[in-house]
Amino acid sequence: MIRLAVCGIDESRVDEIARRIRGATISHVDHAVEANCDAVACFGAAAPEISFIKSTVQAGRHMLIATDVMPPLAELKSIFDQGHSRNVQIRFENPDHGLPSRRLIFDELRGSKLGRFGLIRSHRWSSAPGLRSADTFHLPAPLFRDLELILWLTEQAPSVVYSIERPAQSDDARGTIHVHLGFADGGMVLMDYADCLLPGDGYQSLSTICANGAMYADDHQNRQLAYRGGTAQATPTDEGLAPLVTLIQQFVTDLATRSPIESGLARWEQTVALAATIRQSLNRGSSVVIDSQIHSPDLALQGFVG
Amino acid sequence: MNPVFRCAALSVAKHDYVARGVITHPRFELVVVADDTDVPEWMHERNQQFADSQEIPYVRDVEKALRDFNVQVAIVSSEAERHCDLSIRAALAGKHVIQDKPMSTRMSECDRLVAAVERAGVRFLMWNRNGLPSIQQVQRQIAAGTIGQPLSIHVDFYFAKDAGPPKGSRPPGYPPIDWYSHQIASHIDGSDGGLGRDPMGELAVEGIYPLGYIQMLTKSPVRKVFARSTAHFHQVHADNNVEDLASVTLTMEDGLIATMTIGRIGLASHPSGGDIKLHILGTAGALVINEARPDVGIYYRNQPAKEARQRRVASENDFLLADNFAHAIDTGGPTLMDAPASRAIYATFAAALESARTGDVVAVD
Repeated sequence: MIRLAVCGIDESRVDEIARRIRGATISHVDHAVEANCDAVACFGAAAPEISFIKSTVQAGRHMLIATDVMPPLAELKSIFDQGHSRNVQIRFENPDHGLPSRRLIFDELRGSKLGRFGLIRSHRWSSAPGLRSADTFHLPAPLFRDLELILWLTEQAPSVVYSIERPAQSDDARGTIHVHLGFADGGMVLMDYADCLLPGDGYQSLSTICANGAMYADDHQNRQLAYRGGTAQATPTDEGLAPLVTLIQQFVTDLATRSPIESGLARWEQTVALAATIRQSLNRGSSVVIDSQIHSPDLALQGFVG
Repeated sequence: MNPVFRCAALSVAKHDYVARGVITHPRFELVVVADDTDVPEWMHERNQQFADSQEIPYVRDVEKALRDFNVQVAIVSSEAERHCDLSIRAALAGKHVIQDKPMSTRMSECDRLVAAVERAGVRFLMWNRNGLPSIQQVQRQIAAGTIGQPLSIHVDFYFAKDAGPPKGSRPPGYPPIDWYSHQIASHIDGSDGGLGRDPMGELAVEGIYPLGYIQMLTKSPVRKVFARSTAHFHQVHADNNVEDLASVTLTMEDGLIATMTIGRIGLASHPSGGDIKLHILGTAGALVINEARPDVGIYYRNQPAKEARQRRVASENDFLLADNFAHAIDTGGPTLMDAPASRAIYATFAAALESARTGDVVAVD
């Protein structure tokens, strides 16, 4: 039985998650090294402190890091190397991989029914301003995560990038960004991101158009009506604890069966390179044809955007 | 009592839905079907069948029909290459014109039509879907300031229809599918939206609808286009090097952003004809709109695959377009999609095709 400490989410939710996990005892921990565990899973909005990750790995504990904001890529690489040398398993996971809707799309894309993808279309609107840092080339963190999700779903890198943005107001950091990707085999991705909704619910939609069919995951379809006088309210039926349970169960199972744990590092490297190219397109106001020599993760890591 | 406009259907070689749509309005009356003498016999047959169904004459001489039947309105629904020519001849004969999409297959023809309509002082309407209940609802909400000033608008426009055999199905040694023959043969199931000798992709065939929404809702001209396109689904598109799937990013005047996806993505991809949605973000709110509403779900044993499970209801699109056209004739006012607006849409998808070909951002002429 694996002893897993979970940090970054409420204790009451951890208790609920614990009741659903097979093969592990789950405890709640704050961002501090927990002596009595084999592994640590980090969730939540903020990236865990690097010192916490390093000390956890130093103590020989496996780690699942699935926070909304990922630590900087250089740190991820350093942590991975540290863990590798100590035989510690580390997974850097986009938390959206745990969403049952996204997971279903991921699985179906690898099945035989739908055929090759032709177009992925996403909309993500939020009222919370997305954290923009130099590590993501000042792209909002949720958009950065969506880029990783696209690379995860498609398992290929785009060949051309075009991006445009518009602030909500002239002096506003919030606004809307659009990313348009083309792939060598004709596939395409069109992403619509905005963080300037009025305070309240956000909205997401992901449509995947394939040769033999299509998949539509849309918050529009997953809202229920409430009548309280005046115009009806549309309240979401969300995916609950399932995303966290899915990621934790997979991590626990992989550890228990000693299955090789995919770190996710290579895809985050690709994501950083893609973010650098998007920034290049935004700066130039033109499309950018991706040259793997120029648009490499290593050069992106050095801050090169052309 | 307002006068009734006497209408001539100038070819229904492609379809008769425009003519049928116009006469849903009590102020329009179809009095004759006409076409040129030298069109192929199958076109004459289609024209004759439609004329018979309406119990009106079919005349194999366009100018004679316009002259002899005291016509005020011409309704053009030929193959795409002749759209502008028939419309120009009608306009120069002093007739108001309602035309089916696409405007043309050549920009020079679009320019010629814009000039002819202007010179003749007649009204012109490109048939469109801007009168659908959901689109009218969006227009009212934006006009009322519900979401403030629009910042961006996105139209996802997927037609869940097939167009012959799937891509990759042509056996080795078989010739490519001939576009024109395929379009003629597909009339039977209504999938011949691209009727013409020149192959046309979905941007040309259906792009007018989402671009029409964007144009009407933003009233902002398109300045720059970036697009990707591919033949992803159908052998006929692959064989003729035209797209059945495309994604388009538009930069509008005053910085407004618009994007659009469009595709004829196959019957199996949606149970009711396709997922068509509008997403509009404004300074004070946002809208997510399903274009197909209102609808009614109908499901039953042995239901044909091609029958929509969700049936659209209460659409007054045809009536509203015709009503707008009647009002424009009465007042000399604008139509919902006049000749310059139609030409602007043609220029946008022409730029999109160039962008898809070159990989560059293309300015719209």
